[in-house]
Amino acid sequence: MKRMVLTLLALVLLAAPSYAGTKDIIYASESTAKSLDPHDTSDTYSGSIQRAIMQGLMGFDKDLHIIPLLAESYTFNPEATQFTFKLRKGIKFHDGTPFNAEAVRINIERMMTGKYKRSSLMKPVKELVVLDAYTVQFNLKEPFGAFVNAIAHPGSLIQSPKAIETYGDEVSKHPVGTGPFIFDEWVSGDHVTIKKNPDYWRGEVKVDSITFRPIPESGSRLAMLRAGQAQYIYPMPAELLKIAERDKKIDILKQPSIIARYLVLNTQFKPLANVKVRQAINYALDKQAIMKIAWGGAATQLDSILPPNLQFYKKQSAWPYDLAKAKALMKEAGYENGFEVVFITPNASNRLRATEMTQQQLKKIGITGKIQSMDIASFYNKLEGHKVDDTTPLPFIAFGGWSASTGDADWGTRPLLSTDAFPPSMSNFGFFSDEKVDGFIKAGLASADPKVREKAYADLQDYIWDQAPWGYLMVDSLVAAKSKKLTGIYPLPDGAFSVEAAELAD
Amino acid sequence: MKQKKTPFSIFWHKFKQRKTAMVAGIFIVVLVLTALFAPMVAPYDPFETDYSLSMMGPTLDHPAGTDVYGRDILSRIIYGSRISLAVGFTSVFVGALVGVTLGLISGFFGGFLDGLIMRTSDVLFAFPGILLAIAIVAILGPGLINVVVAVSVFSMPTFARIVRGSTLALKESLYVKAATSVGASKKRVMFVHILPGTLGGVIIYFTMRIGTSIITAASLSFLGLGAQPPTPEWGAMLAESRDYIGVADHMTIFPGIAIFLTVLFFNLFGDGLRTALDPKTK
Repeated sequence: MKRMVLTLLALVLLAAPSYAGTKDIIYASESTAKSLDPHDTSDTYSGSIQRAIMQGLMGFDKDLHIIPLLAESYTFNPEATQFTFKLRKGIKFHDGTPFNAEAVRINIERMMTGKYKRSSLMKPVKELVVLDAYTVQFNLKEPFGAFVNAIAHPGSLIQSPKAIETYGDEVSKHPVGTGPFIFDEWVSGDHVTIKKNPDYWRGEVKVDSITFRPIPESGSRLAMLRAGQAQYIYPMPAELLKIAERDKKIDILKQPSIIARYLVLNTQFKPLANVKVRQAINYALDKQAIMKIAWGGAATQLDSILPPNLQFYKKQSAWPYDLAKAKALMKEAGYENGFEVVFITPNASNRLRATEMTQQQLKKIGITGKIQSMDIASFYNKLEGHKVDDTTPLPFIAFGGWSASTGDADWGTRPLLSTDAFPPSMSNFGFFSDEKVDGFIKAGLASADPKVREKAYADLQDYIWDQAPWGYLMVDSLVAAKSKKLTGIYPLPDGAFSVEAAELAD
Repeated sequence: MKQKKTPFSIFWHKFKQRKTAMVAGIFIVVLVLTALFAPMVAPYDPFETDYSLSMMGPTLDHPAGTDVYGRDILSRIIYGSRISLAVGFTSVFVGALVGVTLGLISGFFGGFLDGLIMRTSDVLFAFPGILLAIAIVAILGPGLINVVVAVSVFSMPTFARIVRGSTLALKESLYVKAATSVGASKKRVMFVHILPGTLGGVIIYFTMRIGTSIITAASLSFLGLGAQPPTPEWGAMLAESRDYIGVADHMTIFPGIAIFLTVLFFNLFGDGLRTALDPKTK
């Protein structure tokens, strides 16, 4: 008997520390990490893991507002050609190298070589000057009011200069930064593990490790979470929300994104060149139904050409669903009997559903046509292949989407609606062209003064809303699901996520 | 008085004994009638949406429930039977027409033509049917017509091989030799004397093949290569509803049952035909 008690006691003592000691999180996602070198990464998922390991001079908070991280503050001249950053003192990289102006210079000059996927972020930079050990100054080639957004972009994270020197471009497998987590291991195609940084400069990190696992099949992802094999899953498929909502151990997280969804109307095609027809389309679309049915409710109505989380967003009055008005406008425009178009869409099931609903709804005002669905690469190839001088422009309506990952109004408008942005150079797939719009967009870039820029983008949004270059639909809500025990991990508006404040209850 | 024994009465006598085949036959007749009279049978317009009824389970008004856009699933399945039967029948018919002709030529003339046709068939045989169909649709582009072409192409070689086999045997039979000796033309020997003798095997395979074709067509539509929305094709209906498995199961179950029963009964029917047409069974 005594022996048994002792054995039990020993077991309890052995078990106890390991029970209370390790707090490991498994994050299941649909994507796989592709690189851990921020300067050479173009996918959001890899970028999010990097953000747990490394930090930039500036960064984004939960609502995509720019906040200082490794920089304390910054100043700029009125012409928006010179930006000066004061750096934070006393921060060390994970390998012990001190963070200072020299480290920033090495990183920025690496990006400026033009060799990397994110080199474009530093394209406006003429030179970087180190003013003292903790001050750097960027001199730009021409005014670029959105430059601070480029500095806050996840592509501009600062890596340890010693790691860059030691590993060269192999640094993509040996990331070293100043962030809350230290890189542990990466098994290609399988998982990435990061562990707690005990000396993190912003305070104590509350979990011991996070493992990022790719689980492409959405049903399995939810099953893992329900079985406790994962503590966080993203994306949570909106179609299965009902199952997840019934589970008492699961929390659903919904976060508005900066991903806008809209119908690209080919304004080269005569009926769609008529603003009244485009307005009729906006009246004929039942946005609420599309959000509810095609998107499983994970969306909010688009109420400006910019989603609410982008800088300088200005709310407009939403287009109501009004068939009578739509029909009247079609009649005024001389298209009472309607016309035929082709509906082009990527074949992801939610987009196909939204396009089917568009087809059903526009039929009511006489706009009919077949659906062409294709994989996303072919979809963009097709749109980029259209030419501006087509003598018989294709009558198409395409299901479009855009995420302005710099968080700035410029990137949410210029590539989509300016005359310079006709494909293939950028993404104005509907060939919308308007002198006033081009003027506002230019004015928005000519200064770094927020007040001047705000005015330009407010004018732009007020003016273009009624011009209806698109069939306005919605803004995605990002949906993630997590164990109730887990707090502090949340999706960011651009589809990335933050794990810095993660905490796991016993 | 003893009834006169025609080939048909012998066949009918044997076929009647196979109860499953009879049931299958009745099901197929009903299915064909439903397809023909779909507008009268279907309770609703298969294209009419009502978003407020999205994904309702089976009720008295909608015995198979509604789909994600609030369309009546039963009506869509009824209209879908038109597409499935039409695609299944047409593609096998075209495949049989070309395959039988080629098989006949191959078996009758032999030599170089035989080699060419049979080796080409072998190449087609080397591909699993669905892969070949996907490849063909990938080249021609998505759409129901192209699905018919694809399924026809991969039905052809089997027909050619069946017919070639019986042609080779029949060519050596006494009555064909007799016909040739009294001066019947090659054309007459081929089509009047040999072709009817090969048809037994062709009919059996034809029936069985319809089932396979329906499945292939549904699979292609499921993959988005066949019928395009809003066509109420069974495979396309499955594809549209698979995201909701576990949330609205009726949306996958009913089109699934339709495909399952149709294919099963075509195969049972073909099986019954085989027994009944086999001269060795009583």
